[in-house]
Amino acid sequence: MRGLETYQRRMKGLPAGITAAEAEAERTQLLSLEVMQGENKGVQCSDVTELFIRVRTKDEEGEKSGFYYTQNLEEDPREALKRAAENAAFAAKETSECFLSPEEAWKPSPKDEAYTAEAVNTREVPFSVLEEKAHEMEAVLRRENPGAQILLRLIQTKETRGLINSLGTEMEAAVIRFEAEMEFAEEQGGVPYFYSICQSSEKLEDLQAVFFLKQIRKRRNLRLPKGTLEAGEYPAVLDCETAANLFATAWQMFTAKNYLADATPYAGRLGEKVTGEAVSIRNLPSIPEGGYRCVFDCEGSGAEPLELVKNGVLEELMQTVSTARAMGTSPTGTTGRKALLSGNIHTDLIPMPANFRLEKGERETELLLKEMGNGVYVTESFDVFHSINIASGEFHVPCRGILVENGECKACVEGITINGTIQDLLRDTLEVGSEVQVRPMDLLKSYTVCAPAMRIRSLNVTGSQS
Amino acid sequence: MIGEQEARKVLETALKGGAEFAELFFEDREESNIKCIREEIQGAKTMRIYGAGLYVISGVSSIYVYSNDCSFRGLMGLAQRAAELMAVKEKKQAAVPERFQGPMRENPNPVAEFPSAVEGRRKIRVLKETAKAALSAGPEILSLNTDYFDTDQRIWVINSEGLSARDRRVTTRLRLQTVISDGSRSFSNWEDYTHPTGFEAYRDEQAYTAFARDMILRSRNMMDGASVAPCRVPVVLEAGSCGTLWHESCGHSLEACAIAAKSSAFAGKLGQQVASKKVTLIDDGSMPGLYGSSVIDDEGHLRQKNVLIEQGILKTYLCDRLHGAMIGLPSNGCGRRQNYTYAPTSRMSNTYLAAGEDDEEEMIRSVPEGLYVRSIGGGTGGMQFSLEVKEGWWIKNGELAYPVKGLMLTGNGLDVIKKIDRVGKKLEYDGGGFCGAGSGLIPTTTFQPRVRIAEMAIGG
Repeated sequence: MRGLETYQRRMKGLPAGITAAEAEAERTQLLSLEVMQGENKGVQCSDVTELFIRVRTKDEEGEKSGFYYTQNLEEDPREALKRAAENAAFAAKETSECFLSPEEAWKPSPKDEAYTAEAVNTREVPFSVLEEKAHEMEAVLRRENPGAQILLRLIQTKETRGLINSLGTEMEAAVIRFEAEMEFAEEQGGVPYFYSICQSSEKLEDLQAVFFLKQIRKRRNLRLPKGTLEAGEYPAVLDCETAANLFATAWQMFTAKNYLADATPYAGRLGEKVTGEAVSIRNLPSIPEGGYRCVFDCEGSGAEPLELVKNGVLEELMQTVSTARAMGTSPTGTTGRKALLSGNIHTDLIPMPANFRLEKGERETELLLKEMGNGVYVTESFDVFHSINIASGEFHVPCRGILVENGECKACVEGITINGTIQDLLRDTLEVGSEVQVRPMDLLKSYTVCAPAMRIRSLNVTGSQS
Repeated sequence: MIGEQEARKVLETALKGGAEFAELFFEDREESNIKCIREEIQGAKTMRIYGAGLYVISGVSSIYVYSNDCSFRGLMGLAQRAAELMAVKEKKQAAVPERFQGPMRENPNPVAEFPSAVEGRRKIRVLKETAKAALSAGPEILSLNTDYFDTDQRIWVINSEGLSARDRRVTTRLRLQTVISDGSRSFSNWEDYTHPTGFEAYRDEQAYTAFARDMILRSRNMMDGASVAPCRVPVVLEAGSCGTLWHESCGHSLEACAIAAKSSAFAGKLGQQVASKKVTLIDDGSMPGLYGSSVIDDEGHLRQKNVLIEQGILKTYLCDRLHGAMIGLPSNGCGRRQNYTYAPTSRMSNTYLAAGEDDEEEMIRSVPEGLYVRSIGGGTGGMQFSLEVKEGWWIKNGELAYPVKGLMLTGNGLDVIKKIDRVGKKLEYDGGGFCGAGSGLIPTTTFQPRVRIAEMAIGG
């Protein structure tokens, strides 16, 4: 693939001092269009390939590892490998990068035929098709919401990943997804409302205006007169949006890296019951509700469904090759780099989900509210990244909610904070809803976190601000 | 990298679709990172970000195409693609001038020692000293990761109006991440020691080792703090980095992109009293020695001082070229982006509250019961903002009584800034951090003198 051709030859004759090497290329081709008031507002188009080079060196001090990242595809591969080797010299102790041999690495099966570069190219759509679809959806949204300001963005993303190493491992796969993002602004009774809603799929035709109309209706129905809430413990239902926001940070509690470092409250508890029975959590290579897919991870391990929590029992963890070796188990196809926002280029290999999913239940949110009777329906949460401590599980998350009486939504409460630990929250989860919210990871868009609504036995809530 | 006359051809080609403006943004950035776990160096990494973005604007419509193929051929391909994609009804194709010139100004963050010229062993010494200082601060450290980062970003902006401007931005940073434990509980924390300079930032060993020791002590306080029953009390925010309040409660809502999207409560309020008369809020990307400063913004516009709110009256917004045009205002040097893979948008730089005339000590002394915030973690902005209280103390009878933990300050930006009843005399700076929004993560600072909010609902 683009960027790796020149490295293929070089892997067979490594520069002196380098005992093994690997080059991974990630190519992202993006095409996006923004439509507002029937006009094209903005178009983006890009083609960027990143190269991640890892080497293992050997000198009198022993085996060491080095790394170099570049976007300059004109660089001589020999020089790039040398730069990685120079970096290895800084490692003070013997460290050994883990490379997968062809026997250990992902091998395409018949089901993977859809993820060759050629197969994905046939699913790519030209700009004119994307444009027609965007205008069609925007026109429906505008017609159904007179007075609102609506911006609709349609995005086609094609991602190709290739990996070669000096052990003879060689692989390539491509995926494609389509996303629609809507920014919606309107005023009602002098109060401004702003929503940002997204939908994704592997097929353009799955993106429909009706999805957004439903989401707008749902939010409008929650515009109730303001009420007040005293601080205390309440039965609660977390809307799927709030639940997904919590897991946008809390998924890190299920990685082997944090487990080994004692940096998750679940450390040492594999095989134990850690949550309520209603809770099952999986990491999936793909999901029916969204278009994010992983075929193999950044180390070349095949992505397979992973049962993290099954009916309350902590079954597995997200592993990299090195954590798996440290725990005497197998890698789980969950090694990534772009897990969290960072001011620097993402280069560390860390456990990372593809689609981290709290499994859904049978009943709609409305029935969960009826079952709860009296309590708080937490409809929106803010600032999850700063308000959950992964090591302790403690959270204090600012939210907005609805007071519920006899299963009916009565009044809106602003400025509430929900408090507790993720462990207690999952332990006290009595039931989960049937509608799943898919939340792509903010700016990086490298994975999703998905969750249904959760009915909680009791939740500590700080009172509302007027 | 191509030359000016080749760039001119690329711009001309991009404008063939009929647009009136085109701009090329080139970036070549080197980064390095050395990682230390406890006191042991784990390894080093070097990174090279290299690519170009082509921005084409017609009225308030835009095309942004980018690639890491910076050859003339590759860029001409981008230009042709941009011209095809630009659906211009009324062609206003601009002519690209023969000659280009750029603004001249001294770099607000001059570099004495470029990180690329510094031997690795010196960087390692700083890392080890930092880690050692942190580990000496307490026996309860379960894990300590210390990272050294430096960045050297070189950009070139050339546009169809004849501007050709270059800038070089160098930063260095230490990041400490720790998990501490008292045997029954674990608690994680991270903090950055940032400088918009070269390696000269580490000439003062006392400064960075003290930061490391204090970070561990702050983490301990955060773990041990008492919970606070929800209440409505005065809140005193310390001078310096507690200025994050302004970044989240107002700054994001004053960005032209938020005004254009109607997601801001400040839309349509220019000239109106929006805050307490004690509030004068400024954003200035030209201030020397600050993390959010540079010679030019990422559209080649010279950075400048923008008074956003003056004595409580809303004066202007933060504008980039495109979003400024959408709301009828010119750029004021606020077009920023993380790198070439983002189109520029309106962003903050160094946002601060101007000093006032109130007595800092009296602000606490006069509070019978309230919250004193020494440091703020991150937050989110918008109509409803939230801020994590990283280090907080309970005020009782005008004195700091005990540390508190697990508090979030939340509120509506427009409401809170009306309740500022004290602004101290001494403005203190902030080391800086990152702000994440529509055009990626960019370095910013946000600071203030000590201030008091007359009343705020708090709880955790």
